[in-house]
Amino acid sequence: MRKKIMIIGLVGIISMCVMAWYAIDLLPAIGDSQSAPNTHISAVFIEEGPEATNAPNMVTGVLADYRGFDTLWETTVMFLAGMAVSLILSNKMRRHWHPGDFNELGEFAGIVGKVVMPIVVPLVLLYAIYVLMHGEVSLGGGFQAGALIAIAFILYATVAGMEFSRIKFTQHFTACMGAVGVFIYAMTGVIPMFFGGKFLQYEKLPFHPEHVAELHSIGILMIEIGVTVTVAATILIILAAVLERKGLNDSIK
Amino acid sequence: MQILLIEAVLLLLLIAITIAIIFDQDLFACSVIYCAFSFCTMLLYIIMGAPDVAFTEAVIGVVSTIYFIISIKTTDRWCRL
Repeated sequence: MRKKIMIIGLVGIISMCVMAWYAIDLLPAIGDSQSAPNTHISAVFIEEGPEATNAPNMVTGVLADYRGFDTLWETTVMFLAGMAVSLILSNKMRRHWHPGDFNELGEFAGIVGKVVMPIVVPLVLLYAIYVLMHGEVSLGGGFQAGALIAIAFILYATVAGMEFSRIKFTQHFTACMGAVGVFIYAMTGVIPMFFGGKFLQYEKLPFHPEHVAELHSIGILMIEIGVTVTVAATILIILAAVLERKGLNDSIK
Repeated sequence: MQILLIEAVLLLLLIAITIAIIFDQDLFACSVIYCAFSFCTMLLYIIMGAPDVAFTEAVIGVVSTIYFIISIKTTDRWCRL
């Protein structure tokens, strides 16, 4: 069995290498001044990007507006990665887990968790919302905001323990959450199609702000909410899968 | 010139951290040193003028360190050869 898997893997690697060998000639050389990105694409993004997408942060403008279709499938890949980890580690056996050795007062190395965490966790959550809302103006965006939300939950679970949290982030719940995030993103693309636009054409969204350019900001915010939900769900599903799996010593027995 | 010097120091630090991770038997120490690796990478990204990527690296460095430590809790801390 193991030999067959090795042979299949070897055949896959060799065929991928051959295909990459033939495809690598199609790419432009590094630093080639005559390649398409260096002649006209970058110039268009830099000169027309901030006005066309209404996003002062050029990275977000390219990522969420010009390359919105790519980012949709990147979000889907995140979701599928979380699913894969959950499936691989899904031999469940609930075990009570505490990261630190707390004494009966709830102190860990002189730090009282119940005093520190109520200060830290809301700040992290507030910063996550700030990063999400200012995605097209300053640094960050949906990915960072989702990771910060997940970090806030992990910090809370570190002190209180997983069993004390009100919302149970089980594998089923986080899987549904990730699917909802991808659904929000895809719906943002589909809605303009009902109002005479194309897929992910933000000008045709059914809102009526003062300027038409603001529709780009609304569209970018909507897809970043979807990305945030998916990334937070992916990080939390890996946490749930790792915490619920059997230990290595149990599977040997 | 100064920026090049800082970059050289950071790249040498990356190599030193990698060697330390390879030859360390304590997996807990390895995961903490790996956090330092991602911190150096973050500084390199800032010097290269990519603060978006640096922000992502900082957040994901913390998350991956937490995962390594949680995983070590469920297995063995020492790497016995």
